[in-house]
Order: sequence, then structure tokens, then C-alpha cells
Amino acid sequence: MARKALPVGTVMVLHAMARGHGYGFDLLEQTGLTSGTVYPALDRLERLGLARSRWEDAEVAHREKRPPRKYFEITTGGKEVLVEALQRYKALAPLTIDGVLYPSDAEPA
Amino acid sequence: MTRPRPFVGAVLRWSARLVPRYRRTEWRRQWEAEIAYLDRHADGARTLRVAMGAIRHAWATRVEEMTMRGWSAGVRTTMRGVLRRPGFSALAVATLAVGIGTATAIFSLGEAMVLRAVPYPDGERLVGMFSANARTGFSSFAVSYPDFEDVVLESGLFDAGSFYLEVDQDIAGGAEPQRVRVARVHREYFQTLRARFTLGRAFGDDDHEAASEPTVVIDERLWRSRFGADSTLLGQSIRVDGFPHTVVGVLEAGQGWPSRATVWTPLQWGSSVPEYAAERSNHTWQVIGRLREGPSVGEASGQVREMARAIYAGEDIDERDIGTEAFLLSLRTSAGGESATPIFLTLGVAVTLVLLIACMNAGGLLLTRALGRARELSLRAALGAGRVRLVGTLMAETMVLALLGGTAGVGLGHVALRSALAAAPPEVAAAADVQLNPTVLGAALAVSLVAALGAGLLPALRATRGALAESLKDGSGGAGTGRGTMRVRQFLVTSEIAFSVALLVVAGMTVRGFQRQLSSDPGFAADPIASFTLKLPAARFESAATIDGFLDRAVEELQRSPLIEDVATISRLPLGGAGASLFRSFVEDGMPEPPDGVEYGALWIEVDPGTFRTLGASPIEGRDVTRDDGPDSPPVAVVNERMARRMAPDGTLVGRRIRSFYDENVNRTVVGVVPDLQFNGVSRAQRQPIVFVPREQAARREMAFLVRAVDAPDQLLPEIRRIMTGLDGDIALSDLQTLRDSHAADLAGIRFFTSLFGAFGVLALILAVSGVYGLVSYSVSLRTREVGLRMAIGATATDVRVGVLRESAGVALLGLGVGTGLAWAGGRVIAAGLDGIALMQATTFVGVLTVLGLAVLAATWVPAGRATRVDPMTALRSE
Repeated sequence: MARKALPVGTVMVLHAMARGHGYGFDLLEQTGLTSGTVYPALDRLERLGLARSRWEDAEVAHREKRPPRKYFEITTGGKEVLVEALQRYKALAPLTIDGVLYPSDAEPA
Repeated sequence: MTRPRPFVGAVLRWSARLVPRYRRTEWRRQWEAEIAYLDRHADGARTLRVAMGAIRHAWATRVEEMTMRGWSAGVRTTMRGVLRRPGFSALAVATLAVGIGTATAIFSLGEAMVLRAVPYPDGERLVGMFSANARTGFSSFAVSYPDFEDVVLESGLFDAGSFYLEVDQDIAGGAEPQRVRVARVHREYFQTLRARFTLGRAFGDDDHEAASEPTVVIDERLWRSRFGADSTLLGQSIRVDGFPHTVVGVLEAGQGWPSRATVWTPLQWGSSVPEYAAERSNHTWQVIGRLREGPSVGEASGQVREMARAIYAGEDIDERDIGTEAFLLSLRTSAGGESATPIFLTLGVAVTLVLLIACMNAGGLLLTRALGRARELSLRAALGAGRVRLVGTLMAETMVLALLGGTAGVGLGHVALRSALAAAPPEVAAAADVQLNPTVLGAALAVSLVAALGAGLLPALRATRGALAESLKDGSGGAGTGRGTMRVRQFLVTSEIAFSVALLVVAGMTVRGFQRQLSSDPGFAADPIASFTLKLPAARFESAATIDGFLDRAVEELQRSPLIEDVATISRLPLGGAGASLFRSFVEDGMPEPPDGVEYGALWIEVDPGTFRTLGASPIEGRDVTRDDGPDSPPVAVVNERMARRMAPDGTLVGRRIRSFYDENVNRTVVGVVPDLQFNGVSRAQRQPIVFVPREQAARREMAFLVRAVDAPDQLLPEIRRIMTGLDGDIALSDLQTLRDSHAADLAGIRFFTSLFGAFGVLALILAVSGVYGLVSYSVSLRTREVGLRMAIGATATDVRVGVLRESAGVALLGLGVGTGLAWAGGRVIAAGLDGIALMQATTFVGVLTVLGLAVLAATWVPAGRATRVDPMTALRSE
């Protein structure tokens, strides 16, 4: 698939999402990226069909006395792209953060 | 429910504006949820940091929006908008095109004529050096040799420098003798300019040695016309002023600039400078120099001024040199000539005003248009178009119009320039291989783009400001009648009127001034008179006796012809014709010389006993010059009326003695007063004081002849040539033509500028009147609804008209008043700069104010009348 390579920040967000982290602040914490990177990345992932979003059940939010949250999860397409992307970023290993960017079945460099 | 802190809330609110409208609600919900979470789990600094990310997020959504569907859709919407109202679009484009086109064409023409490009490498480092003396009132004159040495050769400011002196001399060899302008140049002249040669070489040091055989460089055009582009001319000898000179070089065409010479000879001073030339007080030389890298021309000029001050504050300075200074001008500026500069400046002002008015017209149109679209915009906003997007659309349309206008303007400018050049007199057309100047074109385009965008942005913002529901609900009232938009419109109308007044007055003044010069009376009958000049070669005419002998013989021979009624010599032809212009300062005998006494400047002209008779003038007081005023009789002078009034305002100057104390220093008895004849060219129509002296008391080798025909002067020219050739075939006759023709040639430039300004004035008038009419009539038509309401409740048509008129009158009077002030101030500046050319006349003001006043009246009356005729119910429903 001839697709434009995802920027590393977006790959990081996708990776965190694949490990089950689902909403904005959580993803900020997991990736250590700034909010100005993470939120546009989420929009892009959703537009490319690599992630999907849903709004939290209003009742749940109400019980916890907070506004409802937007949750993201990785799609099957997203997983494929992620694996591909991580192969590619493997070559950039010295520039990446250890233990975060490698898929579980890859050997750390 | 947790609320974000105020600052964070503001960041979110403002950022949200960037988000496309259809995504905005969701975007805010998402962020509010995040902030709410942060408020609980993170400290304030972290919350703020995360919240700042919202700005980037919002921006990203906007960019995404634009890239996803923005461009193609935007272009489609824009083109639809432009084409939907073809009349409006064409008008806006035409207005801008006219403004840009004419502004560029006229500016290019003026620039080419005044600020011609320097044809040498690194030309911007080339300067001319000049002297000035505020005490004596001479603001620019030539430089003395010691000044040249001190300033150019020894100050370290210059890489190279030289000087020259121009004289008119005959050349012979090849064809019949020909009078040419010869520049006698000092060492390094061509090297300073870095001039290019078609053949041969520049002068070397040897050429300037007094002992060496004289050499000469000629211009390529002379080489082609006179010597048939003969490449063996190098090394051959031609005669210059009677002496043989060996041709060593042919200078490439155009490389003689700024000198007007076609022949160059080396000044031969040998190892020492001749005494007369070495004097500090001998301000004779035209100095050029090439500045060293570093200081700007202005900075260098400042240093030169200081140097000159120090020099002229020293000992041994001639009394009349006290206060002499020196300064530099870039050759580019100084060689353009003084006379063209004020005309050019006036053109610049007028062009700027036209551009301004064109921009305001376009702005007015756009404003009108945008306000008229308030309803459409509201609808689109209601359907989800964001404000940024709406404004963007309007701006895009404006941009397209401005670009179209600019493109059309370039074409129009080209056509305008071509037709102006076609109508131009040869010296103007030849002056320049004129092209549209890219810098000026760029500037005009930029100005009109900015103006159009500015004019588009304001109404776009206004029309889209929260108008949503009201505008839809209200139907019409909102469009352009709100207090704010009314103020903008009134401001626009006022300034449009004001600028129009200023422009039209400037144009009118200039045209009237030119017209007056065209019709000016020279003070004598020029029609049956022919004239020519000659210069007797120094080699054969050394003494005053030989010179006068030849001139007397020529007069006698000519007089004998049956075609000729009268003949006389004069050192300078009237009406700005050829000949030497000597300007000398006089004091009355017995009065102190400056600085204690008063000096009177006057033109110095040598005449024959028959000169005034030939011109058809006679003394109004005292007597004419006679045969008895010979070289050995007492020195006498005849003055013109102006000089007599200057020096003797109450009594008579006849019988009193005057002395040109700087130069001749001989007391001359004034024996007569003649009327003011026009000796200057039309570009300096003011008549100067003149002192006429008998030719035989001040012999000169360069003289002009006036020949009055018995009948038609046209048959006269071959007759004159025949007689003079018979007398001495080696003396060239120059400028052989009728005075009427030389006068016409002199007038050609003025005539050209008159028609240029005239065309310009007509254009300005159309632009101004149409702009004023458009804006005012639109303002009035917006009130159709109000008029309908008034009529419905019983107002008569006249009541309404008068009411509307009163309001327009207020705005118009303000505009006319401000404009009159502007025009008056500008007019004074221009009248001062264009000494004798521009005329401040009440009639011009009255005319301009009347025309514009009528335009406003019509622009109010017509639409107001139309509004009163509309059925009130229709008017009430109208938009």
C-alpha cells in the first residue's frame, strides 16, 4: 500500500492506543508528547481510518461528575499500519525511546 | 461539574473559532472533558501547558479543512462570485486597470526622461561634483581645479576622477564643415566612467602631454553619419577648430553620457597646469568622480561639503568666493537636468493621486458590493460557513478582481506608453528607449492590491459580523445602513471628494500654466526672421579685428541679397535659441561692491547697431547701439526694461554707469532702454534683466545672425547658405532655421507635456466624477426603504429630495473643503517648484469645485428622485 509515511509522533500515539490507552490525557501521559501533537494526531488517525472514536456514555460520566470523554481505539487497519511503521522506525532505533516503539515480537536492536 | 479556570477557558474559546464550524461543538466537548480531568489530576501549570495544545489542534483542524476541500471548492465559489455580477466586476477591473496603467505609463515615461539609467558598470558610484554659494545665491556651478585636486584626487574618497569642459567647435575633413559639441577632457576621463569603445582606445597620459600631437575620440554616431563607419579612420587626421587631430578611438554610442559632446579632445596641460586654470576662483570644470566602495553618495557629499568649508575658510580666498561650498550628486540625478525634475515631481504627485482615487473607487465598489451581499452571507453563515471562511471567500473574490485589474493595467499601461511616445516630440522620444518600468509597475500593482484587499477586508468583516439572524430577519435595513457602515461610507465619500479636488486642481494648474506659455508673446515678430550661428576657428581668427572684420563682411554680403531686408549679429538668439548664455553681475559706478553693496545679475548679450531694428524693436528710452560705438570709443550698454526697473526703480538708468565687476570690470554708460524681449526658452518664461553691449566692444568668435526676409523666410535658408559658403567655405553654419521653427521646436516639449497633462486631467476628471457619483448615489439608493416610509406617512417628493440633498451636501462640503485645503497647499509647492509653469488661479479652483459639486448634486438628486417615484409598499419591501 502506497501510503505516506506516518510521522513518528503519530506512530507513537497509535502504539499507545494499541496497548489500550484510549483518551487524550492518558495518551499524553503514555507518549510524553505535547497536547499540540497528540490531538491533531488523533484527528489524523481517525480520518485515515486507523483509529475510531466513541463518546463515553453520558450516564457514566454523570455518575463521576465530569463531562463525557471521547475514547479512541485502534482499528484492524491501524494495527497493520502500526506493525509496518515499527519495522520502518526500527532503522531509526537510536533516535527512538527504548521499549516503546518496538512491537512485542521484534528484537530490540 | 468542574469548570476550567478562566484563562484556560479563554484559550479554548478563542481556539474554537479556528475550528470549522461543523466540527466546533464536538471539538469543544472533547477539550472540556480533557480539561475537567486535568483539573482533578494535574497541577495548574500542567493544565495550562496541555490547554495550549488546543491552539495547535484547532489550527490543525483548520488546515485540514482547507487542504481537504478548500482549494477547488474555494476557486469555484470565487469564480462564481466574480462572474455572477459581470457589470460590477468589469467596472472594478476597469477602474483598477486605468489607475495602474496610467500611473505606471506616466511614471515610467517621466522616470526614463529624468532619471535615465547610467550606462556604465557600477554606475551608482559615479557622481558629479558641484560648487554652491548661499551668499551669492548660486546653488550649483562648476568646480575649480584646486578644488578638484583637494577633493577628488587627495581626499581618498574616490577611486578615480576627472573633469571636462564643453565647447562648440567646427570639425572639417570628410564632408563639409560641421559644428559639433566638443568635450575637452582631463586625464582618466573615460577610465573614470569605464566607457566602452567600438574602435581604438581612450586617451592615455601621453595624449595629455603638451608636446604631443593632438588626438581625438569621436562618437560612434558621428563616425557612422559623417565618416560612413570607415574603420580605417583610426590614425587619420581630422580638423577640430581648424587644427589637425589624429583619431585614436570611436566611442560606443551612448557612452558619452553625461556630456552631450560627440567629439572629445584631451586637455593638454603638460606637466604643469596653466596659470588661469589653476586658480581657486576659476570655477570652470565639470567634475565627475567614481566613489570608493563604502560611503553612500550622501555621506561622501557631506564629507566633501566639510572639506570645501575648510578650504574656503582659509586665507587667500578671493572675496567673491567667501562662503563657497561643494557637494556631490549621483550622476543619475544630476544629469537629468533641472528643468525636467519639477515636471517629473508634479507628475509623480498627480500619478499618486490618480492611483489613490482609482483604489478608492474600487474600494467603494467593493464596499457597496459586500454590503449588498449581507443577506447572502448571513444565509451561508446560517448554513454552517465559518466567519473565517466567509471573509476568505470575499477576499478571494477581491484578490481575483485586483489581479485581473492589475493584468489589464499592465496592458493598458503598455498601450498608453506607446501612444504617448508616438505623440512625443523627437527629443523626448529619443531621450529614452522607454519601457514600462518594472519597479514602478510592481509598486503600482502592490499598492492597488493592498488597497483592494484593504477595501475588501473591511466590508467583509463588517458584513459577516454576527449579522446572522438579524440580517435575515430584518431583510434590508441591515445592509449598509448601520451606524458603523454609514460612517465608513461617509469617510470614503469625503476623502474621495477631497483627493479628487486636489488632483484636478494640480492637473488644471499645470495645463493652464503650459497653455499660457504656448501662447506667450515673444515681444517681437518672429515670423519673417531666420537665424544661424557660427564659430570662427581660433586658428585663423585670433584678433578682435579679424573677427569683427569677418562678421562685418558677412553682414554686408547678406544685406546685398534682394531676398533680405535686414541683417544683424547677436551673441545669443532669442526664444531660447542657440548661442552663449553669459550671466554677469553688475554694480552701479560709485556704489560699493558686495558684500557691502548690492549686485544686479543680468544676461550679457552682444549686439550690432541693427539688431533691435532687425527684431522689429526700438528703444523706449535713449538710443540704440550705433556704428560709432566702436572698440576705441567710450564703453556703452543698452539695457532692457526689467534691468532698468531693477537698478533704477524710481528714476532713469540712462546716463548712469554700470560695471560687471567680477568679469569685464569696465564702467559702461547706459545709453538706452529697450522693451523686454523673450530671450529664454519657454520652460523659463520669466523675462530676465539683460545688458546689451556693442559687439565691437567685446569681440567673440561665436556669434549668431538674425536675418529678416523681405518676404517668405523659407526661401531665405538656401540663399543664406549660398552667400556664406561663397564667403568662407570652411566655416560651418549651425541651427540655420527660421525663428518660428526654432521657437516651435522649443515649444514641442511643452506642447507634449501640455497634452500629457491634459489627457491626464481628463482621465482624472472621469475617474473622480464617476467615483464620487457612484459612492454618493449608492449611499442615497440605500435609503430607498426610508424614503418609502416617509412617503407613506405623507412626505412630498420635494421634502424627501431636499432632506437627502441636505445630508449629501454636508459630506460633500466637508470633502470639498478638505480638498481645497489640500489642493491649495499642494498647489503652492508645485507652483514654487515649477517656477512660471504652474499657475495658481482662482478659476481653476472654482471650475474644479463646480464640476465636483455638480457631480455630487446629480448623484444625490437622481437616485433620490428614483426613490420617491417607487411605490411606497415596494420601497418598504425593497432591499
